[in-house]
Formats: sequence, C-alpha cells, structure tokens
Amino acid sequence: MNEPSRRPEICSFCSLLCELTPEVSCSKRIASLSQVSRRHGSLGQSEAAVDGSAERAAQRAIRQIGNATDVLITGRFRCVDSTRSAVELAQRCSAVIDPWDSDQAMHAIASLQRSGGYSVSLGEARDRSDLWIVIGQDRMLDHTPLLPQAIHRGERVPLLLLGKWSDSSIRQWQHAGFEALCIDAHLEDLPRCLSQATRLGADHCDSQLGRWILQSTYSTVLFAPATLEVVHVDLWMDMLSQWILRQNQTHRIATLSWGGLESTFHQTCTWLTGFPGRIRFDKKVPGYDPRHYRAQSWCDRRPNATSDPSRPLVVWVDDSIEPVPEEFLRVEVPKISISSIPIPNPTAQDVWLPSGIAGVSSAMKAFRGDQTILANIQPASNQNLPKLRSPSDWIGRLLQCK
Amino acid sequence: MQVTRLRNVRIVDGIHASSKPTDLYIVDQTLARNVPAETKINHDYELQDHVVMAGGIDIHTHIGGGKVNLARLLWPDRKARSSDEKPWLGPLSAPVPSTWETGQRYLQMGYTTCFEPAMLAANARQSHIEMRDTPWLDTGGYVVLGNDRMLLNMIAQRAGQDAINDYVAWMVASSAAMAIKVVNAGGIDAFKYNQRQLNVDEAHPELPVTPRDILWSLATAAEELGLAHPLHVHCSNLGTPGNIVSTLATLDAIEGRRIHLTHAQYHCYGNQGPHGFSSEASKLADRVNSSSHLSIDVGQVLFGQTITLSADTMHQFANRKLASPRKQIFQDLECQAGCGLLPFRYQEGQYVHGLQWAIGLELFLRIQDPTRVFLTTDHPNGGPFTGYPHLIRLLMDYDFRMSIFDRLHPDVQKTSSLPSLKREYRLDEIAAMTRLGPARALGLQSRGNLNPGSLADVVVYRNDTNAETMFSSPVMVFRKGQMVLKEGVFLEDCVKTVLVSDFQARQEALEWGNRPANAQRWQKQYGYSPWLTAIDPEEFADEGLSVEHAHWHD
Repeated sequence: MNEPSRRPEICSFCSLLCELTPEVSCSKRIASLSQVSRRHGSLGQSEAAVDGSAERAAQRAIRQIGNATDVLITGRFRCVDSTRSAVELAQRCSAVIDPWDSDQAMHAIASLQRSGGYSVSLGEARDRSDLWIVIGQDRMLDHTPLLPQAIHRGERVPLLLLGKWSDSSIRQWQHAGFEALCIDAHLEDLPRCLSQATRLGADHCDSQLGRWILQSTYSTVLFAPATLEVVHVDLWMDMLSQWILRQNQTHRIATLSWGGLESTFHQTCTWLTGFPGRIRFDKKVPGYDPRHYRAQSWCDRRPNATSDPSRPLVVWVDDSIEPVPEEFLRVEVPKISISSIPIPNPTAQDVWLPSGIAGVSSAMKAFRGDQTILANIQPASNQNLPKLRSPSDWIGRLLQCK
Repeated sequence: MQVTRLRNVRIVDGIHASSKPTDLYIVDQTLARNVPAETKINHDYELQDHVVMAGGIDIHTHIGGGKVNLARLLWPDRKARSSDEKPWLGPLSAPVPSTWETGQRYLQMGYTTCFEPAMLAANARQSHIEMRDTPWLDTGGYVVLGNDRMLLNMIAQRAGQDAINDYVAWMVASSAAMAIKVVNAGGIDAFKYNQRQLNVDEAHPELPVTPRDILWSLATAAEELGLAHPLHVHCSNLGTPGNIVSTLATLDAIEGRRIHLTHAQYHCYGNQGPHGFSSEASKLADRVNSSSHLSIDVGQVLFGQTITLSADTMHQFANRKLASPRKQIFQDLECQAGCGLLPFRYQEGQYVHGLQWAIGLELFLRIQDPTRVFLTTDHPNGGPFTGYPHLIRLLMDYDFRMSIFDRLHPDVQKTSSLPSLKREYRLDEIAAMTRLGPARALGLQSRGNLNPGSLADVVVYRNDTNAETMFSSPVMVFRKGQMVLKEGVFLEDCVKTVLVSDFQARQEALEWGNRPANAQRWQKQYGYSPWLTAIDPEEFADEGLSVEHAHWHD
C-alpha cells in the first residue's frame, strides 16, 4: 500500500480524530497549535541543554526507580505505545498504574460491568439515526467542537438537546444542519424522564418527547460521561442503559457514549492485563482494585515522603499538551516526569525527561471517542519541531536498566 | 547454522502414519529428515516414547478486537494466577483472558498459529494490535462482510460481480485479512431496521437483497479472487431450533463453490423431541461427507462458565434473557457489523446444553475426513480454548465420553444417538484435525505438517494413555526452530508473523480506495476517507511483525 501521499493527516487534539482537509476549521485545533508552538519554542531554545543533560537525567531516574519500593505510574496516556510501555514498567516495578484523569472513564466502565448496555458507533449512528437525543451541556462542545459536523450525514435530521445548552451551543448544532430543539432539563433526572415519557408505548404515549422517540426508526442518545455534571455518573448511566435495553425489545435505539483520548489507555490496559486500569502488579500478576489503586488515592495516602518508610516514587507520563494538574504538584513524593513540560518548582529529587507530544512530534495510535476506530496518527508534517524522544522511548530506556 | 536433533520420536502429522521411531532435524527455522553426516548437531534430545507433531492451528478463536476486549471488561472478577503456574493446574483467570495469558495458554497446549474470525474492517487495526500483543502465536484475521450497506447496495443495484470483486479485494487488502467471514448474511443490518429474523430467501427490510444473494456474491468473490481460505460462513438462525433447514439452504446457495461452515454445532438443530429441540447432526455430517469442497469447524460446547460473543447482534439480543449472570452488552457498528456479549453457563443437567454437547461430538464422530472437520470451541462461545485437551480425550476415549454422557439430562440420554457412535479418534486423526486440515484450508503449505522444508513449529508430547494429560503438557515446543517452552517453563519470546491472504489482484486491490467515485461513496457512508482505517503493511514492520502470505492451492 505505497500510497502515503493519499493518506490524509489526522488531528490528534481531541478524540474526534478528524482527517485534515481544507474544510476542517476547528477552534480547539487552532488554540492547541498555538500552545504547541509556544511549548516547542521554549523547548527548542533549551534543546542543547536538554540534550546534554538528558542522559544524566535518565541515569538519575533509573537510580530512583531502583531504590523505590512503592511506585505509582500515572499521568495522561493518550496512545497505545505509551500505555504498553508504562504497563511493562509497572509490571517490572510491582507498581500501581492508573491515569490521573481516570475517574469519569472508570465510572462509565463500572456501569458497563454492572449493567451492560446497547451502544452504537459514530459512523453507524450518523448513517442510521433519524432522531438524535443529545444529553449534556456546553462542555461537550468545548471538548469536541466538531462533533455536530461529524455526526451529521448531510440531510436534515431532528435533534433534541436535553440539559443545559447556551444559545451559542444550540447555534453550533443548527449550523451543522440539524433541526435542533432544546429542552431545558435537569440532567440528574433525565434517565427517569425518558423512561417516563416512553412507558406507555407507541399507542398510548402521552408526551411529545415519548412520541418522537417511539416513532423514530432508530434513535441515538449521545452523551459524554466526562462532561456530564451529575453526582453519580455510573448510576445515571445504569438507569439510562436499562431504559435503552428495555426499549430495544420493541424498537431500535442505542447510546453513543463519547469518550476522550484517555480511553486509549483503558482499552490497551484491558487487553494487556484483563483490567482497564487501577491495578497493582504483584510478582508480575495484576490485581484490580478500582478504589484502592486510584492514582489520587495512592497520593492521598502519602502526604509526605520524608516520613514515609516505603520509599515512594511517582512516574508521571504525559502525552498531552495540557499543564500538569495543581493537585499532582502538591504531592510531596519524588517525581520522574516524562513530559513535554518540566515540573514547576522541582525538588532536588525530581527528574524531568523531556518528551515530545504524541500525534504532533511523534506518531501515536489512538482510539476515536466511540472506541471503534484505532487511528494510526503520523507526526504533524508542517511543524518545525525539535526531535525529542516519545514517552514510550523514554520508558524503554528506563526498562533497559530495570 | 543451528541444528537440533529430536531422536527416536514418533512422527504424527496426519500424513506420515509411521509408528516406528525416527529422527527429526530442525535446521535453523525449517525441518529436515536428514542432514549430512559431518553436520554439527547443536542440540540433541533423546525422545523415545514421545510423539512429535506440528504446532497446532486454531482456525476460529476470538482473540482480538473490540468485542473481545469488551468481554474482558465485562468480567472484572478474575482469579489471580502466578505467571509461572503450570497450565494443567487450573482454568483461565477469566473466560476471556488478557493477551498475555492467551498466548501463554495456547503455547502450553502446543498451539502456535491462531485466527481471529470476526475482524471488523473499521476495527481491524485494533484486532491486529491485540494479536501482536499475544505472545508466541502467529496470527491472522477474517474480515467481516455481508452486512455492509456498500456491498448490499451493489448487489441490489446489480453492480456486477467484477465490481463486487474489486470491493471485496479492497476490504481484504486494506484490513490485512486472511479471509472473508460472513455473519448471518444481511441479518445484522436487518436488525438495525428492527427485523428480528432473516431467512436465507427472505428479503432485507430496505433493499431487494436476500442472504442467498449475499452468500453467492461473496463465495464467488472469494473464489474468483483466489483467496487462500474459502468463504467462512456463520449461517442464519444461530442456535435456533430447526435451523438445519437454513443451514442446508446456505450450502445450496453457494452452488458448489468452496465454503467453510463455522461453529457448525450451533447450526444443525431440529425442532423435534420432548422439548422441541433435537439433533440434526447426521444431516450436516452426510452433506460434509459427500461434498469435498466443504469444511467445518465444530464449536464444541464444554460445560462451565463462559461469555458468548458474536457479531450476530440479532440472535444475541434474542438470547439476552439466557445471560448468566444477567448482564449484556450490544453494539451496532459501522462498516458492516454489530456485536453482542452475554455471559453464559453451560450445565450438564440442562437439556439443551447437554444436547448441544452431544451434537458437537456427533459431528466430529460422523464426519469421516478429519482434514475437513476442525477442533474448535469457537472460543469463548462454546467454552474456553483451554478445554481442547479434554475435548481430544472425549474423541479418543469412548468410555470417558460415555462417563460424561451418563450424567446428562435423562431426555438427552433417551434421544441422542451418541452412544451408538463407537469411533475413537487415532493420534494421526487428531493431528489432521488440529494441524494438517486447518493448514490446508487456510493455504498454509509450510505449516501443519512435518515435511522436510516446512516451518519448524514443532511440539513434543510424552505418550500417555490419557490424552487430556498428554495434550495439556507438551515436553517441548519449538517456534521457528527455537525452543520456547520446556516442561511448562517459558524460555524465550519469538518473532511473530501476521498471516494474510495473497490473491491474484492484491497489488491493484488498494487502488479501489484511490478512485474518486469509491472514495466519495465511502466518505458519504462513514464520514471519513477509506484510508483512515486501512492498514499500511509498514505498520506491521513498525510493530516488529513479519508478514507471511497464504496462497490457495487447489
């Protein structure tokens, strides 16, 4: 298949993984590119120093890992290779591994494990749906600005916006070509409301919402767990899933649960270990405990490394361009950071291994938000970027000595 | 040059039926019967009372892809196992284990090559990458077609077989597939339009297309393109009483073309007997015995807990109330498919489960040619692949078989013809059904046999009257000439290979995605270009994998 020139470049700044054509204009991409440019500008200036000290930093990191007896591997994993190498490092170090931002994804997984569900992929929903029900609020579009365009198939399809949507968000859906109708609703109650609206069946339905749903030949309920502001996302999803499964006994309806790039970690970790994350290796065997092995919980148990006899260490692996979270910086444990940005105000024990940004300065394989397509993303061709090791290359270097 | 001599072994590969001990040589990555006298032997093993076979080949096992990973997620309660625990000490940690455990457990039975039979074109990259992370096994996948609206539209619009062949060639090449699989032809898509059943001659709810049309078009495409493996068919009406009618209609639909019928046990049911469910295994076996172009794998049921997973959403949804424990996952997916997962417990005392167990064994025992009936459990649907040694013992030992039969539901004992089937498989027949036959059906000339020049994937078993013990604990396993397992202990990793079908127009096949009309149709259907999901062979090299092409040999 020697046709690389015909393969469109793929954007890696959100989980939509758009193929870049002249028509693609995305506010998030523009902002992200500007951030990358600033980041790499400063990295480029210090490149010589970084190169000169990188090997020394790696040696220090290897010593730190060798001495530690209680290791947490966390961060923001966005691609298969970073996850693979981090899981291998965790296995070698008998470490806990869990992404820093895994709470929402783990809620969705917990619901799936408990109740299952009936879902649909983006491409299928786009092709088949004659009614869209979008549950959420503006944050969904902040995360994935081009989602309305991506799910629209080029003809007028009704779309119900349930939740809290601003006028500008409603216009975004309309601008994509949908006949959007917004129903202001309390998000917590929506699964119950949908169930109520359809409880009497098509022949006796007493609500307009119910009639729309029951008269459609294929409805898709779109929501993004990470952007939903409800108290117990997993229980909310349980209720929605049970309703969807019941509805499918007589007509067709499915959920499109839209995830972020972090889903790549959970998928990869699942095939490698059998578990989606939050595991600790003991004699190379993974043990799963979604509460105990949560990254933040691990950190909460270690307020101060100087008084902790277990010689703890955190390895932070970051494929993203986002700033390091404040709450992570407050953890008083020695840190090895494999990221494109140094740890602010590092202690003498902290080590920074400067890495590129996945999908921008190095290749990445990442899942689209519906976790159906695993895209192979090549580094951006139009970026004048310094050559930096990817996180998986750095971990490979650490593994050589462990 | 590295030379290993296996001295005084009994060679059993389904071709050579010699019971006389002989020497077998491994020269680098290939096999030899002799080497020049002056050759330095690097490793020499005395193996009297041992049997040597080629590495096992599993033609149909769900080991990679979206639904396999969902099944792992669905089952978080796993039994922790030490990484160096011996294989014969217990069951899998979960019905669908991690990639690492899958590779480990296959190797510990002497299997070296496995095929994922339901690879979605949209999801092919994930399937291949999961299989890449399954150590020790060479792997390949069959791309699922027959429910994709692009194909259905082509058939409905009478686009012609040449156009269909071009499209199929693109799908096989761009997903780096070994074969075409059709699952409930047209039925998965019909379910998306709320149709709950689709028989072979019933029209799709939206298009003037029947499953018969789809089967004929795809079987013709496989044959005219020269794919290594024939059309791999999951029939309509999976698991439904009386489905023997549609199964035989499916075989008729392909009009004498090559065909492989998969998990046939689930497709040869009658609707007679005390519970409206009966065996029609003899009808299907008779058809196989009289049709040299037809092969099957059985999909044997083994008692215990498992998870059933299938692209056949229509029938998985119909069976949702049988889930045990009561949870289920379904998906409607772009690019041709769906997916349904149900946890399931097969119980000895349950009439239907007991009869399913007996029907599978009937098929094995009634089909005469062991190179056309393959040993599978449709892992994990009928049970986990780790049950293969037990299944081999059931086939080789009549008394053992009957000792389990006697525990089944009384109505199974009254109605099943299993006790009358006294056949006991011989070792060479086991080799034929687990090695030689699958290799031939897949066009893998250098695998599945111990001919000079063949690939040195070799398993040494200690002769044992208990076949279950023998086949669950090989003494040595060689992969490409390198010893990777000895007495249950893993020695080394090995370079892995992806197996893909070569065919007449492979190089031109990928041009399909470059033609503007095709690219536009694809973009309109799915919302992205054909190249987003297409796999570049260089990706395999980046992953450290070599590629081997399989060829159709008539």
